[in-house]
Amino acid sequence: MTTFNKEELLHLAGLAGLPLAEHEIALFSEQIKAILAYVDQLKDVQIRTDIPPLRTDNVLREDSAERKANAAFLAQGPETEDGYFVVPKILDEK
Amino acid sequence: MNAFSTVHDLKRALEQKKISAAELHAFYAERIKKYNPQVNAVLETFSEKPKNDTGLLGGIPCLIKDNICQEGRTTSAGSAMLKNYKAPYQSTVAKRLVDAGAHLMGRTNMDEFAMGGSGEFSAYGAAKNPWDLSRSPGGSSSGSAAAVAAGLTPFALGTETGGSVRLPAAHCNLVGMYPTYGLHSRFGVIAFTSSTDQVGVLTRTVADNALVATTLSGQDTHDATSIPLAPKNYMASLTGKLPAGFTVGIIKDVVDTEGIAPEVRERFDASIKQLEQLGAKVKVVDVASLRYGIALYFIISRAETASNLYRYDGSLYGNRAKDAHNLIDMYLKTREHGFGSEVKRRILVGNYVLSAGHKDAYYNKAQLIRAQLRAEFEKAFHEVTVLASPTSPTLPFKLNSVLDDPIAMYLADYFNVPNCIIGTPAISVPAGFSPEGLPVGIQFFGPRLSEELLFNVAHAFEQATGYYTKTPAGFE
Repeated sequence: MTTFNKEELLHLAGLAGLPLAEHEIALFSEQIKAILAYVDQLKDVQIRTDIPPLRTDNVLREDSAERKANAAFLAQGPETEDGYFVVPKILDEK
Repeated sequence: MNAFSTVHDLKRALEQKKISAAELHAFYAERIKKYNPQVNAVLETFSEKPKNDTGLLGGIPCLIKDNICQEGRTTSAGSAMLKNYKAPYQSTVAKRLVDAGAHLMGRTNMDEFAMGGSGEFSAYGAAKNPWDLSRSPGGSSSGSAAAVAAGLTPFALGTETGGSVRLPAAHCNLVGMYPTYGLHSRFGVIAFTSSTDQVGVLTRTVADNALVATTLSGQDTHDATSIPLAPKNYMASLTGKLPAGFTVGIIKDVVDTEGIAPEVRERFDASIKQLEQLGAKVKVVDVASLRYGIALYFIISRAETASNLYRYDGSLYGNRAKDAHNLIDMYLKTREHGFGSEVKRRILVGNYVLSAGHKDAYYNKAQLIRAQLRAEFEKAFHEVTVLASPTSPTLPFKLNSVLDDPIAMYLADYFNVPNCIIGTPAISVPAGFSPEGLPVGIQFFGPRLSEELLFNVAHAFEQATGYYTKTPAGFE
């Protein structure tokens, strides 16, 4: 049986880049615990050895520009300047 | 013609010049204005007049789910995160509809990023079921289904990752198909679970569904997972009869599982009898790993969600939180305020099942059982022509009944997620009504690329039963 607690939730929220509000912390801890308890049934499944695993192949195309739509994409930027996306400073000013 | 005319009826009326494309546009625009406040199915209606009345769908209006890019239009995926996002390019499915002469009239409501089974996780309010406004139309293609059912459009595009077209089709007395993975292009469809996401069509009849699928068919080189096939005319597969030697396999879980509502079971049993009268042989088939479908889907879809939704950080497009004091702070605040609760829950579970120490037990194990499930399905189709189950084990949800109980909502897709995980097709078709008049659906599953077979079987069933002719009260 999987244990899942608030500390783990906060750790996950950190990994996911997803700050949580107080009410979400309480609610999600319980809900995710229930979800993990449900999926735990898979741990007991015996894997048959006569079935090959799923195979995937890469499908690639030439790495060449097909469209010139820079202006349309830049227009979606929350802030742009001279053809660049503008973001806040990476480091705080000290 | 009337508001509940099929695409085929409208095509005929247009061809015979009984109505013009411009008049059709005005007719549906007026209906959306009048009835949408009741059902909240349509997020935006475009005022442009139709340009073309030639082609397979010449002059036929349609609506498109809000996670499918329509060039120059807002495409918000039901999320506050993309509230002001305007698609800089056209999705392949939208392009193919336009090429076939269809008139794209607007975009429809949905669960945020297509995550949900009730439509209630939309950032723009829940869509309502025209058959009972106190109930959900089913999700995540909630608005597409509600709009067709209320006669606000003759057809709509939805998307399905694990039930999101078939569940609302069943709850709204419509036809909806999950095609073989790779059959319809995903280019320009906002990603959620890339290994199962597919576009599906919501229509009143099987023939309409086959017609729209025809216009979407054929490989798209912009989507690396698109199957290299030439365009296909699915209309040619509708014979009106079940194929020779047809055997329907009832999935054993339908017989065994508690939790199927009695009204749904009654309709399912009656539908199987109807198929027998049409000449079908019936067998019960055990697909042993099907019972793990929901758990497999949880793991696979949450893992891919965590990966696909990491891109929403406020840098290049979409919402950006104000007042961030540095870059990381901007990422965090944008995500905190841009995503709703269901999306957050899924991202968190996805990070859990992929994290060091858990990946083998969850994600890798799920991929092994996925292969097993596929082998079992393939084996079943050596015994029977198609498999069958109720589309949803329950009647349409009462609004607010599953919001705080995610597992109850997920279990509604018990019969819908297994074939999505292995990328094989299934079609839901109306199977009649509960005593209180709520729609129930039955679905048929076939092997990979068996769309012609499924359209034919569903069409034969539909023509013998005719449930699609009934329409919801109050939307005349």
